[in-house]
Amino acid sequence: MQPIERLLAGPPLDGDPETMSQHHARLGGLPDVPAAQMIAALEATGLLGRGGAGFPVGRKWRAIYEQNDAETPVIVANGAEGEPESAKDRVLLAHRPHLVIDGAILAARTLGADRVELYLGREHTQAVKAVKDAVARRPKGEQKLLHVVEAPIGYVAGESTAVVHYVNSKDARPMTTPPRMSERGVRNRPTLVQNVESLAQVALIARYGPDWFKERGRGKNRGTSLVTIAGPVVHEGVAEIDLGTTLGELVELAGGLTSTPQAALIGGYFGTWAPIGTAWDMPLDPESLKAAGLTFGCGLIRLLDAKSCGVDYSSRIMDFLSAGSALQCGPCKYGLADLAGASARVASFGAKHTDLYDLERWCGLVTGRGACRHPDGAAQQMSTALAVFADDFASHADRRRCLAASAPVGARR
Amino acid sequence: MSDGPKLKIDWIACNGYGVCEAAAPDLIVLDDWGYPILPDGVVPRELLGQAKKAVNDCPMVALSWENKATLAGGRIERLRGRR
Repeated sequence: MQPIERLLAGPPLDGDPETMSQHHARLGGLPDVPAAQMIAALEATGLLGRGGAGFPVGRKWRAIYEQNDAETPVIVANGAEGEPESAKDRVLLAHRPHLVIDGAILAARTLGADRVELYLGREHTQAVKAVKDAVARRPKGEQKLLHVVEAPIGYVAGESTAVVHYVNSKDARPMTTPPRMSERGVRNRPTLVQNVESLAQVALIARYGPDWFKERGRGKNRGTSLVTIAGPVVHEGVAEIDLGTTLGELVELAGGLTSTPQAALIGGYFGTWAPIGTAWDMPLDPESLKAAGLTFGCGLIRLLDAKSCGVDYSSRIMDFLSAGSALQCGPCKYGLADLAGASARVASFGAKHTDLYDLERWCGLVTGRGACRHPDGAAQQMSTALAVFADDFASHADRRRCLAASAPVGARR
Repeated sequence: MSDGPKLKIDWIACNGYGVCEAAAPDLIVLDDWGYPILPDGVVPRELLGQAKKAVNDCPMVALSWENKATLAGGRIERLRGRR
């Protein structure tokens, strides 16, 4: 299988960021697309947002476009990428900064915005530097619009209401909705919060049109997508795939396996676990994954080695997500901490007799009970782990033995 | 009954005092951590009185009506005015 090159076409990814002149030579200048036509094109592509939630991009733009007598909108390009194992946004920003900025400028022109916030994770230093350098190379008129905001480190700092909260008042904690961001966001103005990969896709769609976009992809979801593959493969990292590419083909693209996997975490730390038998031939696109009870999320595929402990791995993720709670909402603050505690006890062979029962129950109890979807995502990861690693959870809890590990009991933590 | 009166919780405001459960014991139960559980938030007609008391009693003003406008004949509004 050949690598796809759309978003990642251009200079190699182990080199410097693409310069303004390279970008221009390759793609030409920013096209002048009338607003109505731009939005119709986005709707025709069926492009779904690439930040994790997968909301249709065209519909999001139209909601702001059609607000009558509203104030001047604001655009936020969201490149916080707090997901620790995902790298696609930081790689895109570090190597194709002008493509992302093109998309953000197109959003501003289409929606009549007078301000673009480029919201970047401050820990992604390469991406921050590349974007700052790129902004300095843009025409003066664009530079007036563009503002780089360095987001604090934190899992929920990239959640869209947290993004707006931080831009407004330097507090990167999610807020209660309504009001919707599309109605009252940054400075109380209608705000488009859009993932940076989505914006890069927009930059290409504006140039080549929706039909071109739909030439790629295999299933109902058209086009290409960035994904991050991690685990026992030769080349871990970011790849661009046709949506609908199977996990097996992605592994081949990544140079093949280095050891036998037992399961895959698909979508991110807020994603879903699947046994490798189910996952291997699974088309990687939002629609197909959803039909199988899985999620595309932010495009992270993390393979878990057959000799690694799924109980331990999912418990560590739970601990990370609990620590990543903004601690504003009770069920998230206390529920995720209890889920992390119980799963850690099971993983380290010290389970209380109620732990497995409680893990299952608390996953249901925290879902849908927060200002944002952080608890929902955390519970989704945990509950799919409980199902996929069911035998191993039971073995840890009841027999104090790990089924996956070749390591002796008690040596894993 | 999906278009009946509905309650919603502001999760950031809610501090888990449990006053709502005391006010509306037939409508609200508390979870393991003391926070209210409202399965779908829909309030049956016969429990409107309890729900109204729960909304008014919440010290954090975290409990509110999701769809005030659809409340039958503005009954809740009248109740509030009488307080």
